[in-house]
Amino acid sequence: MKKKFPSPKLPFAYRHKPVSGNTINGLGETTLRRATQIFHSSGARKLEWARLEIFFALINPFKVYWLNLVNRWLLRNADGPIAAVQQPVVDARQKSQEIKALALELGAGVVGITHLSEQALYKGTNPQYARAIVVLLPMDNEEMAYVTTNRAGAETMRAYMEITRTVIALSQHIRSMGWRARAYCEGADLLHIPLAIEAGLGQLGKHGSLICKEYGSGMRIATVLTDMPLAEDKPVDIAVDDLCVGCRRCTIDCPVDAIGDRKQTVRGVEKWYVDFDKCAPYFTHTVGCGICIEVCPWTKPGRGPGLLEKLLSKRPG
Amino acid sequence: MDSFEEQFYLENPTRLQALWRDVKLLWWLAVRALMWMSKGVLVRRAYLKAKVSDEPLLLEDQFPD
Repeated sequence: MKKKFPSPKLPFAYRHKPVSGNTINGLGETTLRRATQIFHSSGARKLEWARLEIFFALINPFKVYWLNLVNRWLLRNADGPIAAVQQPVVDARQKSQEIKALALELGAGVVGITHLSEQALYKGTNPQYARAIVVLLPMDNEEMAYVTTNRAGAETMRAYMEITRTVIALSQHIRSMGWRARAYCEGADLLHIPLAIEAGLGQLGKHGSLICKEYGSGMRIATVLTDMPLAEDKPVDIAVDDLCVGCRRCTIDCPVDAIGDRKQTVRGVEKWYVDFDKCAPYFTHTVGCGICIEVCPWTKPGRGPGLLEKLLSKRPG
Repeated sequence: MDSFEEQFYLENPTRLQALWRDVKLLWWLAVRALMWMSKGVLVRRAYLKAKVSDEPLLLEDQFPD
């Protein structure tokens, strides 16, 4: 049965609409450039859509707001003391395996490693690290079935807190070996999705979120940046485009028609793109929305690997 | 203004620096908690009103420059 979602008619508006988020995001631009912060502010400067962001924060239920503050408190340990004696890394491949095993032990669902590319940083931010360890953590699908309600919002924040603890512990371990390491979660300096794609954890879906083989889009992403020499993973082809080209589930279910059927050029790259001006206000109204993530066929628990096999078998040759 | 990361992520801090960072972060969190409980009450009340009326809540009115 098709779920009913809140009406797209919004009870709030801008008197004077800010510069389009699509323009800020570089929709239609053919030159490669860094992304500009637009909604989730790092606090360094006032963003074009700042009013919507503050409004979003203040209409959040207390539990979600409180969990967000607790998460910020945890994040004070995102960086910290570095052991004076550096343990040399003789075999980067083996060290990568050790780090990944540790991340899994600390609660991660999937882990990948990649270099820190400039395109994964917002304009004006400049963390000086060589590579990124990207961690995915699945959310509770039963709770996320309640999307657009506070219950799903609380689950999202719970997952953020859990993944924050994981990446903080991982960064502390790396620092204890004498290497620089900083955990990033929920912050506004990094673009986690491009890093996750580069680290071989999945591909970009039509709904603008990462789709990974194991969890679809039902997960959260966090990252540890480090200088520790580690073997890097490569991007993977898990046939996401094969699915998204033909599937219209998120396109149809999005109440504000923010998801298009064709890839578009954004900052010099052709990719799936979600209309910011339509998505962000509804996302605010529903205090986190998440419909597209929830209805994605890949997000159904346990379905990913079978879906991948089926999609690959349909490819010619 | 510095970003959250620049303010509170300290690489290799001394104990004193870490302690001062914790104090500043507690203040940062308290300001936000108070904002949810003060300004937030007014905004949520106005939002509820807008939901049952035909007039949309104008963000500029709630958050003037």
